[in-house]
Amino acid sequence: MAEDRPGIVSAVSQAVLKLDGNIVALSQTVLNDYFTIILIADFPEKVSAEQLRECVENAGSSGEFSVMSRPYQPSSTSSRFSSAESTQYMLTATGTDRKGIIHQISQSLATKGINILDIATYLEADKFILVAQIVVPSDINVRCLQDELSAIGVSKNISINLQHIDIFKATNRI
Amino acid sequence: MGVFTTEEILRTVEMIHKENLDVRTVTLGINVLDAARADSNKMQERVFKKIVNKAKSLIPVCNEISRRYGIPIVNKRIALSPLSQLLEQHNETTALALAKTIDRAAREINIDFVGGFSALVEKGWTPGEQSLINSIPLVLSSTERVCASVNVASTSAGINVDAVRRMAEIIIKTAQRTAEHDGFGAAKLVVFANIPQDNPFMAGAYLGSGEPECVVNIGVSGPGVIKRALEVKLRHQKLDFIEIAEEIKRTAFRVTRVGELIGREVAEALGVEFGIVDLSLAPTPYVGDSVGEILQILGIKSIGAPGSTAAIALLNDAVKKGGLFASSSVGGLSGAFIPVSEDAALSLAVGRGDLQLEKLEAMTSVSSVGLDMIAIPGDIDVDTLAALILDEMSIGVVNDKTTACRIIPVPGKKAGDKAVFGGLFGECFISPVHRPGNSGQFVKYGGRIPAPLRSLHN
Repeated sequence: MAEDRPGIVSAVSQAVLKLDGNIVALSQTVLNDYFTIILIADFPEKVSAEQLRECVENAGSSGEFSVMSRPYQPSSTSSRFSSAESTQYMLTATGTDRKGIIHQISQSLATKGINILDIATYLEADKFILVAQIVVPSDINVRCLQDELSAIGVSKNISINLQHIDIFKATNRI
Repeated sequence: MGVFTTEEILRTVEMIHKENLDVRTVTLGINVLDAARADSNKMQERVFKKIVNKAKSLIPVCNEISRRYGIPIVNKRIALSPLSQLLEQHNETTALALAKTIDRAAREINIDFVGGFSALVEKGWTPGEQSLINSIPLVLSSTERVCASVNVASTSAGINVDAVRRMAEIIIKTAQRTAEHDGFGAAKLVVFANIPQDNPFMAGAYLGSGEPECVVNIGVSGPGVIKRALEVKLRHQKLDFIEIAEEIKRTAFRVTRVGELIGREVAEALGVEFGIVDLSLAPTPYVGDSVGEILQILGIKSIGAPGSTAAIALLNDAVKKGGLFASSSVGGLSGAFIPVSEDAALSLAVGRGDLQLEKLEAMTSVSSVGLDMIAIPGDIDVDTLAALILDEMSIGVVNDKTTACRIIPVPGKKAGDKAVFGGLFGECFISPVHRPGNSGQFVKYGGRIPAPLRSLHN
């Protein structure tokens, strides 16, 4: 993590290369001028997690980068949580911002074993916008889930919709 | 957000929740010709069983898919084979009994309208077709859910003027038999030129020859979505006509895609074939879901003023182009509807005297359907109404397109009065008919107006 500026990806990837590493996957995002990056890389066995952390940290100016490094093991449960597109839904919520909206929605999802693949929230003027891509296990009744989310919406005075991802493909992709 | 931008996601949600994007109709076509029997009771029993058996899951399936995608499916309907073909060995009494049986079947499975009480008589009529046509006033006044349509003209056959005149009589009788409801029976009756075989929209839906045993056809909506898209664009930018057409095409693309997605899902769930998406922009009486309002957004302050025909032509063409790019299964009527009572802005324009019958006729030469849901004075004579229908049929026949008349002569009311049909049928002011009583000699020649020349187009 760091304050955003040109050259961060270049500096981090150079540090990885310096340790003879190969980047397998990388995701980067900037939120309100604050830069974050997460990456998976292969290294020779002699490279430790601590060595990598230091090397990347030193790629920035003093105290610029906050870095965390840990060994990566592919999860055996990942398929259930990321699973087929047939169970992917888009959850959208819009309305006046107030405390606890994200928590209440995510708690409702978590108690049902519904995984969030991707989530983003924004504030436009005073309007709160939440967009989340989620995986609804096939044993969950979508109608009940929609009703429950709507009830949360009513209690927080926001509009919550849950729609299968295919409707967004149909309307937005050639 | 994955492969979508937040803007794309919110745009889709907004189209559905704020701009009235819905699926206007899921229409299940069912072949009932296998029920033909000399025994009237056995025939009715087979028709009843087949409708209930094939369509009993239509509403639950549509409701589930509607929930899954968060998109409303407004109407679920049934289109049958032309029922005149079941009536060749029968009389008008059986025609009425058959219609009542179909009405009962529709009630049993909660379907609001069933099309297919239809006959194709552009070149002449058979005894079965005559029985069906003669029974229409009684059928439409004593059933609730049955819709009738009669094709009286085609580009390849010309116009059966005898049938046109007969239909004028039938329309007037039907309206008179439903006088207490402003002649509403006539709102369930369409007279066509070049009737499409796969139209999902009532009252003209039927299952044409060449269609499968059972098929799902979809009618999308979208005037509200297109109006909103143009409104937003025109507020922020100065557009020329090419850019306006592009915006309509982009929106029609999205609307069509939604229709095809829903249609394929419903067909798969019902285990039947998916047929077509009808690209028609079908308005509702609700504010914000009007083709007339699109014209106003485009700068025609009074609908019916010069420029209205060009605006409809632009809209109609761009909708087709956007829709055709979105789906290879396009059919039905596919154009902009201008049903007066079902479109609040059009209805108001008629009430103000801005939009007259003659201008509506001109607009139908460049758009879908025809003189649709137009109320006229109840004292109109048969010959004048026949001539009015004849004019509209000529536009379809000569231009090789579908045109139709769904005209309601409102009993006991005159031009400027209001007719109220209710629900999605809406309400409208009664249009005056220009110079009634001056066409009798012309329509009484009878016979058939020959098929038009199809070359030397000018």
